[in-house]
Amino acid sequence: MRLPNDTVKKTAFCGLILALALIAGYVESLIPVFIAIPGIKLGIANSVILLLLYTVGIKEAFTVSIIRVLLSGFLFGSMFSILYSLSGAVLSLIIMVLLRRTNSFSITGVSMAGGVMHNIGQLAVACVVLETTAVWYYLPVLMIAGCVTGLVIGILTGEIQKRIF
Amino acid sequence: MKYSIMSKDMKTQNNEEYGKKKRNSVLLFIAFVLTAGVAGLFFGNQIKENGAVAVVTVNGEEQYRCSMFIEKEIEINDTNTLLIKGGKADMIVADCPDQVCVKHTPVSKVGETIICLPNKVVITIESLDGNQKQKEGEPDAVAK
Repeated sequence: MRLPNDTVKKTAFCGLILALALIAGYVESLIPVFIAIPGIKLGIANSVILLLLYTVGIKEAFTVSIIRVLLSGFLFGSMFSILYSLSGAVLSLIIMVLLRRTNSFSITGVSMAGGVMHNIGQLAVACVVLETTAVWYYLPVLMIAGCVTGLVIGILTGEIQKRIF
Repeated sequence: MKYSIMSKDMKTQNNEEYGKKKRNSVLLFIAFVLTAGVAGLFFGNQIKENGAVAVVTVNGEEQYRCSMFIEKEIEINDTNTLLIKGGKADMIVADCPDQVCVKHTPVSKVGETIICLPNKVVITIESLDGNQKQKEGEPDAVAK
């Protein structure tokens, strides 16, 4: 489904997606996932943003993603959690856009790369904030975790895209 | 809202293209797993020697240096409590919501860390000569 260039309809749709992403982030925080690994998330909000990227466009995806992170941070988190989320979300979205542009990866692959990059982005910020390189010890674990969750979310998003759009 | 034009991916993409995309994605997955595996092996290969000092860093600034051999409870900034017992350092109390640092297993080897991200507390294990890095298989001593 290619939404027409009708700005009003596009804005309304993006607003809807934004609300959805916000709720997704909240629901995510209610589901305990593997507490042993710090920073592991299901990435349901990523699914929403990914959907937006595939149906509307790059600018909209970036805008909604950033606004979502800010709002989510103001509602549920702290200044620093916004910083971590923002870096993860932006890096992940940049990579997803680039991969999508090459048109050589399925939506599952794009989502997986996004998941991994999200974690790497957060690790990088943690490294700077804490002023230590010790955080990179978590890299292997978080890479695998990002892969797996990205994979699952990717499959999910693909199915949604096929059926609704 | 009625849309007659389906997403370009679905309509004009034929099976061959889709197959190629799927294959590339699988390759990507394998690449990630391999990278993670290599990094994991690299970290795991380092000789784990028992640490001598637990360094407590808050917000990038060193606050305490504690010997690993003296049993002690250290209160960090009213937000975290570190316990050194039996040659291991363990975070026993923290006011952070995720409690990842508390659930972390106690650390004792050089280079190991316990990190409380929300409170910006980093516990690092160092060796006697201030070394934070594991030695890569060097002998401890050479008899001449």
